[in-house]
Amino acid sequence: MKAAVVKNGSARFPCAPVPAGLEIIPSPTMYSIALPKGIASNVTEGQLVVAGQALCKNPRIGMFASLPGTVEKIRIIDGKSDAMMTAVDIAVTHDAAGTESADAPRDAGSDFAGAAKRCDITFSDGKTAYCVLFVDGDSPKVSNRWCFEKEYEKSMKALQLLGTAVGRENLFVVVGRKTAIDKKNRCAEYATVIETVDAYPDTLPEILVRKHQALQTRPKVAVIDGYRLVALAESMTTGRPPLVTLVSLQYGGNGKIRLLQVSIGMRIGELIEKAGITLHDGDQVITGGELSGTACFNMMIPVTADTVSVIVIPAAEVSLSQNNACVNCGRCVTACPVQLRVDRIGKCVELQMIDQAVELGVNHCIECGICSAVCMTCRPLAHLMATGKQSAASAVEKNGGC
Amino acid sequence: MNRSPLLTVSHFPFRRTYVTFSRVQYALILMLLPAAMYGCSLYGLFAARILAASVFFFMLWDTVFETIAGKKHTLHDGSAALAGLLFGMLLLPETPWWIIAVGSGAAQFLGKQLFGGAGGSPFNAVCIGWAVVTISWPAQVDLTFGSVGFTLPFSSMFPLAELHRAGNEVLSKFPAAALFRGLQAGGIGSGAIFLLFIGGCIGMLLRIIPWRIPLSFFAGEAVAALLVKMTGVPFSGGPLFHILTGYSCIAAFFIATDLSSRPVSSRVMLLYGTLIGILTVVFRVLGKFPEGLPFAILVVNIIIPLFDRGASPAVADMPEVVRL
Repeated sequence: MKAAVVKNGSARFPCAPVPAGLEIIPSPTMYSIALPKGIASNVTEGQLVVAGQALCKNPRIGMFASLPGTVEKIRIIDGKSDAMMTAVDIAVTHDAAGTESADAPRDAGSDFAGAAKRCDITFSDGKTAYCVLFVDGDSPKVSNRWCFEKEYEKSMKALQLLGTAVGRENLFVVVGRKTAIDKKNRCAEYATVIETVDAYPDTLPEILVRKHQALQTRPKVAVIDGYRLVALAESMTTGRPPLVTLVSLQYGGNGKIRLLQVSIGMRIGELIEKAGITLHDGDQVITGGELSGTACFNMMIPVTADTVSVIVIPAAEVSLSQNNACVNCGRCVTACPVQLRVDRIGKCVELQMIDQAVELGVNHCIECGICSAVCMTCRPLAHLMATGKQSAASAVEKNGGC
Repeated sequence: MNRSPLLTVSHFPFRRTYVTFSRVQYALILMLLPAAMYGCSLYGLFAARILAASVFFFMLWDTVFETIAGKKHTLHDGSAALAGLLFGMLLLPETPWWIIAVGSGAAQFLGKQLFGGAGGSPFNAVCIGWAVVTISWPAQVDLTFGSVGFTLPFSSMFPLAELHRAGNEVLSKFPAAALFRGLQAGGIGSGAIFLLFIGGCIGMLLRIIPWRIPLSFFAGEAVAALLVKMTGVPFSGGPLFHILTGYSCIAAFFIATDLSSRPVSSRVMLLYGTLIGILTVVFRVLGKFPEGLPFAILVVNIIIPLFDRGASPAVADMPEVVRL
């Protein structure tokens, strides 16, 4: 597999002034992008490249990509790291000379905007989806609140533009969604601000269910994150691809949340290192939130447009679930955002009493995982719920139901 | 355990609460300790001996029953120690050791191990132990005669027993302020009302003790006491008298809120507390024993699962979330 060693050119594009409370992590001067097969033959040395993730093929929305720069050299990389690197979805290439028009004003980013409009966008997996979802934007409350309060007008404008571009019926927005444990041990701020283009019913369960429906039938757009909405608005009004993203970094389960401005494409390991955290053996790195995020097993994964939060959990705090007995404390029931009797459903699933579990509402579980997180005895409740759902579905299939 | 990050397979959530079962138990023990120490300062080494014996026997029986059943030992989680401390705090400072041994055995067997360990039993283990010894050896355990053997800076008669014996005229002998300050005879730890209040309030603030149970308990007790007083029964006592005497405080904050036997649904918690409060007054006024609170808890333990089994009310009007 080929990789392009790219000299960082993002310094040419001044970013918006940094608000208070944000730390800036400087981006690397050189980085390498793995080139997907469809693109590799088109990339040559000296070219201007943009890599990252595409939000939408619609020219009005343009690219949501970053890592702009010029290709220094092309090299062959071994098979070990390329699998990781394909997390960068797309590489857009353009002849640098072509954009340099003598008469064109040298507005920041204008060449990239032009590049995005004129060249073909090739997805690494060969798909040409209409939209790419922002799925599970599990970002801590601070970033969402911060964006939504400060940049309300911008995000409203973004919503309008997005609504016109993708069709209002395809768009719904849950801003401020967070599944995390707050001080009261509840599922915190599950959906703080719910803004929709059309007037959707504003009851919490319905919105959450709509989220699942939207995920099932793909091309639809779900914006679940305030920062990305604002970035989108910036991008749509200036025509410039967003170069940086906001990542919240947390060390330790109860550690202070730091908001970092990070350039898209920087590797997670590099980000953690530059933020002054040393990783030890056994530490867990989670991207996307402590409840429904993904465990990173390779630090070479780049920060992409939908990397929202990075949590480093020290080895001492990593807690694995154990098959303990329920002590009947009821914390899972208090914490459950859809008010299920999690304790009883969990016991029913353990005893293979699926009918009873369905009666108690196992199919209404939204699998946020808060029950497992607050369990006093570390029971794998979220997994029991998921198992119950699957058993219920297979039982229905066996009986010839639909 | 040697864990390499590449081989650690875990599923979400990646962080769990720091509130674990054993930490809750130890926190409750810490909240109870001031009241227990107050009892020790009143009754001296007698009380300390009772508390130590009670904790020891609860832990011993726990280990014995778990060994017989071939289960994992759970001594370290603190639940046996907490139950032992609570049981000791209910007893008189002159209780013989063999009563404690039998009572703790009954409590651990009938109230915990028979149902599979902590959290399984629908009955309150401490109350079962207390009920067994009270019915079996009323002369040694019953509070009727108070702490006669001790010279105390206040009346050594148990307030509720005095009410039982002499009727409402004794109420003037026990002003509410003195009762609240802990100037009353009774169990080793159950008389230190203000310390129990402080401990209970800390527990409620830390969300270890659900506030619904103590509050509904006191409300139920006060309303029932008021109603009984209005009927003109000569042994009624007042609402404040019932709340500030006997096992009311220790039971409201620490015994009735026992994890295993309390209901889970928050609405049923209110019903649970209220029922215990009402039954407590009924048992105290009409019962054979001056203090009937543990019996009230046991009776309510029998009824409350009937209310606590319903599905969530939200289920009916929500669409199902299908797994992808």
